[in-house]
Amino acid sequence: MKKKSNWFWLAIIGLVLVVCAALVAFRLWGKGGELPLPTPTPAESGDPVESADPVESDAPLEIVGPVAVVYIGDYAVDAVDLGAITEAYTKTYEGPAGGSNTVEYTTGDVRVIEASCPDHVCIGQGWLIEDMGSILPIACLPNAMMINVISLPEASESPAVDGATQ
Amino acid sequence: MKRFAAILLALTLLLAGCTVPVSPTPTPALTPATTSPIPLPTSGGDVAESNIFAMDTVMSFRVHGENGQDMLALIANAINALERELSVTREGSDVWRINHAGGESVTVGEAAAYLLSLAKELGDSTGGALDMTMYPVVKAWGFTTSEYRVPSGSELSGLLEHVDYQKVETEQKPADLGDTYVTLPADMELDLGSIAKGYAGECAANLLRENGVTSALLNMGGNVQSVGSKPDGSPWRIGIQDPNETTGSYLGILQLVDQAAITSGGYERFFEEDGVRYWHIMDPHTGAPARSGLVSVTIVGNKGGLCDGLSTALFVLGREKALDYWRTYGGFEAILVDEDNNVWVTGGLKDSFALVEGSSYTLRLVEE
Repeated sequence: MKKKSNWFWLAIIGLVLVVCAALVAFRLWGKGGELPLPTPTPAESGDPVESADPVESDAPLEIVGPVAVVYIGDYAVDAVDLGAITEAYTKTYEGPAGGSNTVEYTTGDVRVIEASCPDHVCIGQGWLIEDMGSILPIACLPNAMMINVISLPEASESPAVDGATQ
Repeated sequence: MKRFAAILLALTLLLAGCTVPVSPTPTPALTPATTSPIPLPTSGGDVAESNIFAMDTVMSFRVHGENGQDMLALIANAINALERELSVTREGSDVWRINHAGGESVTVGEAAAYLLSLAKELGDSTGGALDMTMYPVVKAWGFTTSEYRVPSGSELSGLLEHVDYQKVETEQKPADLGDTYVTLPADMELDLGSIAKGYAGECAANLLRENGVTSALLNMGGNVQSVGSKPDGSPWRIGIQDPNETTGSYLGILQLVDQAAITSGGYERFFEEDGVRYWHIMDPHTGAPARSGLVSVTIVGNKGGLCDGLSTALFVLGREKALDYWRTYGGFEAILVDEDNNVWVTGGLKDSFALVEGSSYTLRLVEE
């Protein structure tokens, strides 16, 4: 009987610790100035701004752009306004199979700096905009992770290339 | 003891509940990218874009015109269906069933039947430079798992005894409405991966054309398939990867209209051991990475599947035999980059390919 109650208290303490950790992690998680996701449907079609594009009206927060979107498998899990980043930071994403990628965000660009997979192709791809020209996404196949840049109406000057072979 | 079990159970439930919000990939309220990618229209009106994971790669699609989102869903579904038939690892696919039939014959769908005949034709016409039964060798090098190793010579010669695409038997039985029966010896394995992606692009492009799309660009994981030209009528501008530079640095720009451009290069997937670079393009005659003097091969043509297979086969053949092949068979154009920084461009691309400004490469135009 005595042994059991020892277990009981140990378990309770363990639970409290885990909950605390979870809460702390959750709070940390919410930080970072990311854009709210999902952003699929323009909720309020407010005052028509001079831009004729309907997507812009969605945003009460001003998007500086470019915006990077992180996908895990078929899901968009993160959208980051790269232009609005004031201080570089990193963030780790876990893939469905348990692997992970650590992504570094700086003002205006994004890259993968750590990956659990053996081949590290995603790290080798370098910066999404500076190195990849954002023509192709950064991708980690083992972790089903992908980052691409979404175009904003302003960024319409014709690019040097439309596509690329690899 | 019962109480203990109950507490454990309660704890498990609680913990399970707790982990949801801290999970780095929260699933609630997110949008599946394949069916409705976050709608992110670029400027200039009617264009729809999406990215999907398929065939072990990332594919990016851009479709101009009306119904772009429907068109994206259409081709994503078609490509996923092809993957289900052609994947070598997916249990129950046509290719998987051929490999696991223990020497018995199996019936396969149209896509697999077509690609088997294409792979055989390419094997025959290139003297075996493309061999669909190389899968066990590719596995031995670790290219299927990224757990790379250099197999010994005796291991390779042992494996090569089970490599010969001519032993793949296909038979059409008219009585069964043209079903194709495929038989593979039990000690062999085949893989259509070297042509499947290009073929998927070809099928997707055909599907778009049938549905009235006149302008689309499909990036099949570094292979480009175009439909028509850009909306303003000018050709698509495609960067050809510089084999000696990081991804996204271009050797030159190719102008592409309604065709596929597919590049194979040693830089795509490789590992290094004791200062030697081993890449994924294998010479079926040696069972080792093909060392032909070429570092990348780009094929431009109407049929993505054919282009995909040729980009690998001509890499294996080397420059002289590759150009002989082009002269003999034609029907495609090629950009060959050799170890000495020469870029051999076949005549048909004279006006549509140019090196980037200040290039350190030497352009060598090849006429008939």
